[in-house]
Amino acid sequence: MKKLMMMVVATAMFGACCNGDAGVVINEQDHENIAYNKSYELSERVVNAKSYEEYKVAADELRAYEEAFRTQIGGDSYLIFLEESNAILNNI
Amino acid sequence: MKKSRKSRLIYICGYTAFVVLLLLGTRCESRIHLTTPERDAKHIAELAELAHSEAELKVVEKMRANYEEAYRKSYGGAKALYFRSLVDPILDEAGDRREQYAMDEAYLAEQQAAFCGKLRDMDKAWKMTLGGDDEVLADIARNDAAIVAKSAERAALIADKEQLALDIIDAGYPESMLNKIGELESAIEAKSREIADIQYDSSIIKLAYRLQHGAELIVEEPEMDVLVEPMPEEL
Repeated sequence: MKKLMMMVVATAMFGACCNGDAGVVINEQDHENIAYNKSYELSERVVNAKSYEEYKVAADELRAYEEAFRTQIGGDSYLIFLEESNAILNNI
Repeated sequence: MKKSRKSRLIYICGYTAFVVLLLLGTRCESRIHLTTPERDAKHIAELAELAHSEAELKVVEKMRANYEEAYRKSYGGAKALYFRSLVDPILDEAGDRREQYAMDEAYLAEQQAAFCGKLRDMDKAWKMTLGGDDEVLADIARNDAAIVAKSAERAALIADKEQLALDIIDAGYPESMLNKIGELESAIEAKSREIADIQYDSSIIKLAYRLQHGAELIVEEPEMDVLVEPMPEEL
């Protein structure tokens, strides 16, 4: 019984570790387009949110994409993502 | 007893071997494999070409210094100088791009700060508990009044500073008076920060109203004659 419990806990911990890395992955072939489209789509959702919950979901996703562009792509596409997002966010 | 001594000896030998291997490994890792000055200079030039940031450029410059040092140690000063004469023009050219890199990095940092700052403000605004319209307007009016009062205080400090500057010239720049002007400058800066904090608070209240009510808060502009006083840095 004790062994079984240990196995269950170990499996759960392993699963948690594996899922920890799951995040936004940017397609390296199409990152410029994604930068334009996602920054527009997510920033619009952020500024047009009708409730805090709606805002939170969109803002978290926007932040996740920002981090993904910063860590995975960088360069011009990351700058495009920031500039486009800022242009929309500053309108509010 | 004998066994214990033997195992201790084995442990000491093993540890010594480990340290020696570690030191050798470090030495091998840091060793530069020299070819010819021309080929090494070409290698550095290729890396300098690929550098697209100030940090990358610094790495290339460090590498150049390491190669030069290695040439000096292995073949003497003449070859090191020859290597340097081949690499320096390339790095000078790359160094000219440094200003552009610094500007690009500053612009990127500005965009990042704006992005994070705007989301932080929106977080704060969404979490803010707003009262009715009257209460919100009263908060804004209170802030406006505080800004007017603090702007007047700042204007008085600026006037004091200007007068003191004239007195200092007349008195022949005594140190005690110079210290006093430093204190006044700090006070002016502190007052400017207080004003900026209140303005920021008002901007968050307005943003909160816009986000939570989906409409613009209409605020009557206060008498802001004092607010147009120049900032200390403009003087």
